[in-house]
Amino acid sequence: MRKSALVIGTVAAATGLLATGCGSGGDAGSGKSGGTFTYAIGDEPETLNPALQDEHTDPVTELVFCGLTRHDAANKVVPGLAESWQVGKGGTEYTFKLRSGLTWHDGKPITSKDVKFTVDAVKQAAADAPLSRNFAAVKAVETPDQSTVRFVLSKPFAPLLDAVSMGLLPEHALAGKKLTDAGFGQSPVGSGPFKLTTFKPGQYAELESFGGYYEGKPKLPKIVIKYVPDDTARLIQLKNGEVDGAHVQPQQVAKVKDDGKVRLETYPTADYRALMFNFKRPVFADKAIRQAMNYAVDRDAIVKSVLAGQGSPATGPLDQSPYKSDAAPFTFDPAKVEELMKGAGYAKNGQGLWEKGGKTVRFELSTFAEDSARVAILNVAATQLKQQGFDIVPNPRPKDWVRKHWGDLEAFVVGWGTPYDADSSVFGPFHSSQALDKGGSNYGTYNNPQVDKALEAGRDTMDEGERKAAYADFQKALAEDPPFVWIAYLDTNNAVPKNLTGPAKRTLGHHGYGFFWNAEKWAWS
Amino acid sequence: MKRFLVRRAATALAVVVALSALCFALLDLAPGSPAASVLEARSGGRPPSAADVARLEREMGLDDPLPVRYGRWVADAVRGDFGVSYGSGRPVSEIIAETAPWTALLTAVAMVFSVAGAIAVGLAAALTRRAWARRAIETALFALGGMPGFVTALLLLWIFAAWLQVLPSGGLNRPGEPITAGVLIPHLILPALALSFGHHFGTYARLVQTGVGRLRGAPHVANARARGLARRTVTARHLLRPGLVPFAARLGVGVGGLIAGAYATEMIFSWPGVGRQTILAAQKEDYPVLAALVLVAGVVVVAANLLGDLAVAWLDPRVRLSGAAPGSPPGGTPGSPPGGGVPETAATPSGPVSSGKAADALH
Repeated sequence: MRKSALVIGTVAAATGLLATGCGSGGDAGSGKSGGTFTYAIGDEPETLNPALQDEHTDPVTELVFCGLTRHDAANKVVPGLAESWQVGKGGTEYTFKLRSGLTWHDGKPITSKDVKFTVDAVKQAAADAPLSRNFAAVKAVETPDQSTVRFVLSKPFAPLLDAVSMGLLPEHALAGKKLTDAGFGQSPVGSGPFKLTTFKPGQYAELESFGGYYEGKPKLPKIVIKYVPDDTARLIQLKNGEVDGAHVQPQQVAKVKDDGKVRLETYPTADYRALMFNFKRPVFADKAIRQAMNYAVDRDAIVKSVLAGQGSPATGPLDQSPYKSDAAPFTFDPAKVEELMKGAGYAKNGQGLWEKGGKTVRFELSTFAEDSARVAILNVAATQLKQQGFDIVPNPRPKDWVRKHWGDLEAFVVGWGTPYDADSSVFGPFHSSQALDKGGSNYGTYNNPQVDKALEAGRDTMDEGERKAAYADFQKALAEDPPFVWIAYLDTNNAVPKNLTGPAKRTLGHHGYGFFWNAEKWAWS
Repeated sequence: MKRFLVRRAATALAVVVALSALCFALLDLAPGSPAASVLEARSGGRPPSAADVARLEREMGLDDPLPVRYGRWVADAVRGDFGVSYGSGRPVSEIIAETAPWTALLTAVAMVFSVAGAIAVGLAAALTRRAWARRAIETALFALGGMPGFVTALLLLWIFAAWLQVLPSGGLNRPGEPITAGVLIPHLILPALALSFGHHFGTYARLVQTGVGRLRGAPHVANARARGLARRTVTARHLLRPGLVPFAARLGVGVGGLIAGAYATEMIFSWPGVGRQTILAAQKEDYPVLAALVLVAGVVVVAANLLGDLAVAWLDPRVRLSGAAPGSPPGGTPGSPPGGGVPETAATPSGPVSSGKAADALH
């Protein structure tokens, strides 16, 4: 029948028209010189208030806010909003001098009062603000004049200069409100190189270069951070030209490399994965066993297989820090495993497992079941350990269960590490005062007086040489009595357009945070 | 008619109230702690301490017994206050206002695709005399009807965004650009097609096909032809109009399916609507957002069902006069099992029409 053919034809034509007539793939404005840089990332913050985030974790917040200090390419503390500072009275008094002519994004001047307001607000917010831990030693903040601010401490606290790299908050926008105020968290007023113009939760944040920035107006006129939680979707959008740049997973690197439009920026991070032990379990009492396990894992194989080569073997918590010492010589060494285990009185049983008094080294190794990378590390590490005679029961568990049962876990694949001041990611997990029962983040209840002493020395001394010595002692004590089996530091990959200049290598943070650390210098070529 | 309306409206209200209570109770039973989620999000994923979680739970009022919390929630909700999001602190009503229009647009366009497409394809299949053409269409519809919505969505995404790269893969626009019709339309095509194809398109087309097909040899059609009416008039007036009744009856229920389908479709295409927001809220254990959005979806589905019932009552006088619920029309449907069964068998030209609720279970 002619009519039916006509109907079919019409439908087909209409569909075809829709598909081709309107389909531009959305290239408008992408990567053009002088245009917007649109970047896709997986993690989206709930709030853009820097005081409610841990350590520079969100790029938008980092671009909008600026602290008294900041970090350079080597993660060393350099002047930010403060042009200089003096440390006096044996490290209990810090006096900062603000740069002149500083303004907030809304044009109001930045004064020493804002600094005092920020520190007081964070201290008051306590557990709501993860970074309040950094200001515990601050007794008072004084404001002798508009551009001078003095921190008075109850005892020396070396990481303070690092702590004040946290974004400064404007008193005029937050006075009389709670620090957790949603209005401020959604449309914040900062003083960083970029100003927030739109924030659409679940979609994107749009930023505009700020003319009043103390180093001058950034060259990129606009940056859009698009939230695309799904890894594959991010890759599709990058390939389809819907975004100019994106955070890329290790397994996707090969697919991005062939792409003519983008360049891959691969940086190391200070984010490590390790096997943590629960010291309330007698099986971990003998440190020889933990030493032996540190020799029983083949870190290179894990980096190569699980991380697709995107990482480096880890032997301690400070491998990426300027304080790294060569205290831990852990490599894959079956002969050493044998020597240590035999020395501890163990012998291999019929199944090839180490046994002493009828007991094998048996424990459950768990991790967040939702985190596929950690589960992969868990499985490979468990297999390797089993081959070396350790009786491991791999068992990933739901995040939700783990949250309530930290104390019941036997061993767990954890992630820690910071590229910034060493103290912030070693005091919590390894000092005995931070044990799980006491509400701290030492989840394994590791207790080593030598480690405690070295960690305290690292925070209390102002002398750089003494700090270095303290953290060397710390690493030595850890290597002798290892609380973890360190596995690997993860690399992070970001794809950017070939004509974007400026991104520079730096050891980045947890989950690869910090890629935009020098975005004020980025430009289209 | 009035009594029928009042009765249906009262039932609908009861369903909504029951839904809100059930939803609240389920959230309470669900594992997890919203306070832990909030703290974990703030610390960049690091696990919070039990003491901090307990303190925040107290602050959020989560330590009150369930009935107290539910009572408080209902009292506020009646006044239009759904509280604030645990995570961002934004008012939930603001989140609803921001997301609901986009879901409305997506489902409306998908509905238009479904109706127009189903009528066109269904008619073509019913009217063609070529067996191979009919069979081809039927096979395609069967495949489409049997494919889960998210598979259709992923296939479309893969073909048009990843492979051919002619359409954007998601969102409303390129972020930061104004949302104009020219920007919105290409972004709307894939999700709307996915939602339409993935949810009921096949069923609808088959309903049209069988509805019209069975009428083709009917005496009134032969009579119309014999009277020398133009073929077009016969098709439109004597075949299409009566033939569409089963299809129209199915539409009201279809809205529920469409909204359910919007959750997956919006997630896959990053469409910033209610469905995506609901799933994000569930992932973050953001109970106030979740409770309100589930309620909103529930209200819409109940309202659509109510409208569907009214439409059937309007189309079929027997339903209206008796005042019975149209789910069990008087006299039943010859040749169809009670409750609808397979949609095709429900579409007998002479009898009244089952609303096809049971058929919904197929999806």
